Amino acid sequence: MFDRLRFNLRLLKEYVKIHLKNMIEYKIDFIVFISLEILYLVLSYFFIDFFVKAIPNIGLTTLEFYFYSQLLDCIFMFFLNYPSFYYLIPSGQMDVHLIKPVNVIYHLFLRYLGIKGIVGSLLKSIFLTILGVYIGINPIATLIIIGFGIICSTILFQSIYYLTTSLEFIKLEMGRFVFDVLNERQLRQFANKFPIYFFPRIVLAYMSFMPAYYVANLGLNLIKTNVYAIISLLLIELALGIFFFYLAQLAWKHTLKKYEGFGG
Amino acid sequence: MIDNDFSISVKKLSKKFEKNKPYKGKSKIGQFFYYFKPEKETIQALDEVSLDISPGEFVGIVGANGAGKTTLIKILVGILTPDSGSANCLGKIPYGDREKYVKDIGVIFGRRTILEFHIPVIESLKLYSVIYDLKEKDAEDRIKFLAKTIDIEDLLDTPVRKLSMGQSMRCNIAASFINKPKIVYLDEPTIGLDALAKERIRAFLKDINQKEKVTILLTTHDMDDIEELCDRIIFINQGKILYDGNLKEFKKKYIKDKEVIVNYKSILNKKLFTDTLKNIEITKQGETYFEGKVKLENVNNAISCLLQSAEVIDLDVKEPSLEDIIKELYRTLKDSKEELK
Amino acid sequence: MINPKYYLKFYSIGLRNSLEYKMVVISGILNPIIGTIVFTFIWAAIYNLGYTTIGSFTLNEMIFYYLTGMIIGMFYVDMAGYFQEEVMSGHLLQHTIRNINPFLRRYFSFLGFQTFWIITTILIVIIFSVFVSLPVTLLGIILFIPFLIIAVALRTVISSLIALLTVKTQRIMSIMQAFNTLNGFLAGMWLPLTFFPPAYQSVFYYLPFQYMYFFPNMVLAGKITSTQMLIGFLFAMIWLVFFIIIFGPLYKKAIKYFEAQGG
Repeated sequence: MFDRLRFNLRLLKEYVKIHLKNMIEYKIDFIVFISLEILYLVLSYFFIDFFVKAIPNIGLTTLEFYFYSQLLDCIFMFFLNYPSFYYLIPSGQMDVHLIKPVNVIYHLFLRYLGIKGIVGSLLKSIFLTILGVYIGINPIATLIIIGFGIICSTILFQSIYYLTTSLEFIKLEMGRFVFDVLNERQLRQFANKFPIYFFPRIVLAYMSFMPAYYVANLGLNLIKTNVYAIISLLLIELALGIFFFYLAQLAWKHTLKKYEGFGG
Repeated sequence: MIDNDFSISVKKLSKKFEKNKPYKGKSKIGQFFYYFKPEKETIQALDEVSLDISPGEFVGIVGANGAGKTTLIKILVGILTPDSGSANCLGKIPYGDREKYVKDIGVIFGRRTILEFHIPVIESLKLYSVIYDLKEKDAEDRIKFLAKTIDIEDLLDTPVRKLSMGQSMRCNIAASFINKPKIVYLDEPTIGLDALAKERIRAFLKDINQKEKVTILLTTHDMDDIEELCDRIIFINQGKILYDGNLKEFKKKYIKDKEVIVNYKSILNKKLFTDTLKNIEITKQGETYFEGKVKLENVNNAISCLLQSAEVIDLDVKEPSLEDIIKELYRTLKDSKEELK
Repeated sequence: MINPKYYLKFYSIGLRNSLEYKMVVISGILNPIIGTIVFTFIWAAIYNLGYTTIGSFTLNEMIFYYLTGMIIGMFYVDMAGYFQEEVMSGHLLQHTIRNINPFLRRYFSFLGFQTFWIITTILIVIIFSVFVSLPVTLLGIILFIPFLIIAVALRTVISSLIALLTVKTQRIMSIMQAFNTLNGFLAGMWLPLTFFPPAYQSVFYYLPFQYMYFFPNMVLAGKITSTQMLIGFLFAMIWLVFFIIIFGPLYKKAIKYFEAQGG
């Protein structure tokens, strides 16, 4: 078991090295990416300000709403890079991943790691730490909670993604269909634009296995400094993440047997 | 059951695929609704295939497009699971213990690169050494050895995307041997390469097969690959093995005719000459020259008659190439599942 | 230039492709339904805080704004990614040899693929308007159509102009993203532009962004006077003509540059 852990960490280190080298090689891309993020930060502040001014009793000040919205972006930016199975499988590229002596899911996660997003997320978390000070949030608390939020949300989101896309091995399109129908992306975008307490209860219940639910509530409870709620949210999200993680591993093991291969 | 004498042991392996039948009707509306519930047809990709390959063997697998070669390779590599039958490679079931099994194999899938596209070759090779959990020193030595043997030392610092096809394939082959595999599966490794590139790759494969006793399975449409590298040939047609044996025996058995090239000064006996030509399938003809095919049993007689009936300057008798033999087999075995042996 | 009816063939290929990806089409139909329901409940909860209008929109008008935006969005396609792929793979050469405009080709095949989604989105809006009294009038629909065409044309031409940069640089996706970010905010996709102070709104009038989303939306909702409509139409057309005029020679230059590079 320790041997396996050592191997996995070594592989992580190697891939991070490669992705960073790539990022440095295409540094203009990275600079443009950061510039876009700054543009988005500036524009979204103004929009949130106009929104809050138009709806004074929305329950949050401009800065608080801004913090809430950017927290969602910061955490999701970290892991919103995943392979397109709808391209990998029909093009035959999945075969190249299946011939490696590594857990396939782990390998795909490393191979498609969005280093720009990770670096952007880390920079944004520093920004949020400073912003949090202006709304009375302890900066160390912000950093710790963002860190845990990232870990738990990454595990949960990636597990759900790989669980649903395992169905692509049984029938092309099925994985994509299930993932799309979950509507995670749309609901996350709504959670980014509106405080989550405006969502109908049935939608909140449905979202309770999605990272967006936990991150949105994390933001609100961080603003209210509700420690108990924060710890509960993180623990539940982590538990769900572990559950879906094992489900995904099981699903892949079984659906791979149905894989028909392409491009041969 | 583990068979320790063989690297690869396959027993009655079968695999079928389903695909949609094309719409045969004429109505556009019918065609529209057909898309929602198309008729399916079953393709038997492999039909009770059995074979055993010993360690260190260099085996060529040939067959027409859609014969089942790649399906067989993919099952042996562990990507596909057969519908029935069993495969045992290096004492493991490839599609059962895939993660453990692939540690000891190397694979090349034709034009699909296994290297990272944007980074230098050396970084890709280092990554592969980590993937195969090689110690740093071992990895360094291995990369040096492979780079020298397959002549990619000058390419190591170049990103894969900037390499030509031949250069890229050599680098891919180096990557597939990085873990000192016991078996290497090469699915059309020389496809689209020029003659020089092919020669270099063949030289490397021959050398490493002899030095490291790696079992190599090679699928290819290039018969020169087979002639230069393989002692054994497996001919697959429509999911069935039609021939599995020695390459020399294969040629001996399936050469049906020989090629004759004749240059002559003048005809001495017109009747005999004309009668002789009736037994030759002329492929090219000039004023005092012709090329043609003669059935094996008629070769001696044809030569004798030609020498008697014309003032022959030059006479050349050649065996058809493996390529021609295979082509002829494809033609005659189009729908046949007959065992050739 | 090839016969324009060949572009209809690309449309039918796009339609055919959508039949191959039936499940993707079905999920594309379900998502707007779910989105509309969730959006409605969220805004209903916000209005329940004690508002009859927010940003000069009633609840029904806000829902309608979202639904119309969905319809407009159905006609948008990313040209940058497509064109970059065509240039890098060399397929662009196949089009230029046959005098096929790759952007028109892409748009028609996209439209074919979108057909089911466009029809179902319009149906969703119609069904929704039965349950919620939405401000749809026949006049509004008639006036909306030319503005929709201008909106789509503007978006497509601008996106195509950015796409042309592929022949010179690999970074067009970042430029496209920058445009999408700006457009998202300034076209009123995130919030109706009536949320902005009047000073800002008068500046937006002169920019092309609002004509790609906000303005056609207002036309359909009947929230615009005829004078504003005429002025808006004039500005939209000026921008459209401007972009088309600069597109022509830039396209020819880009193709020449591409061919000179040997694909």
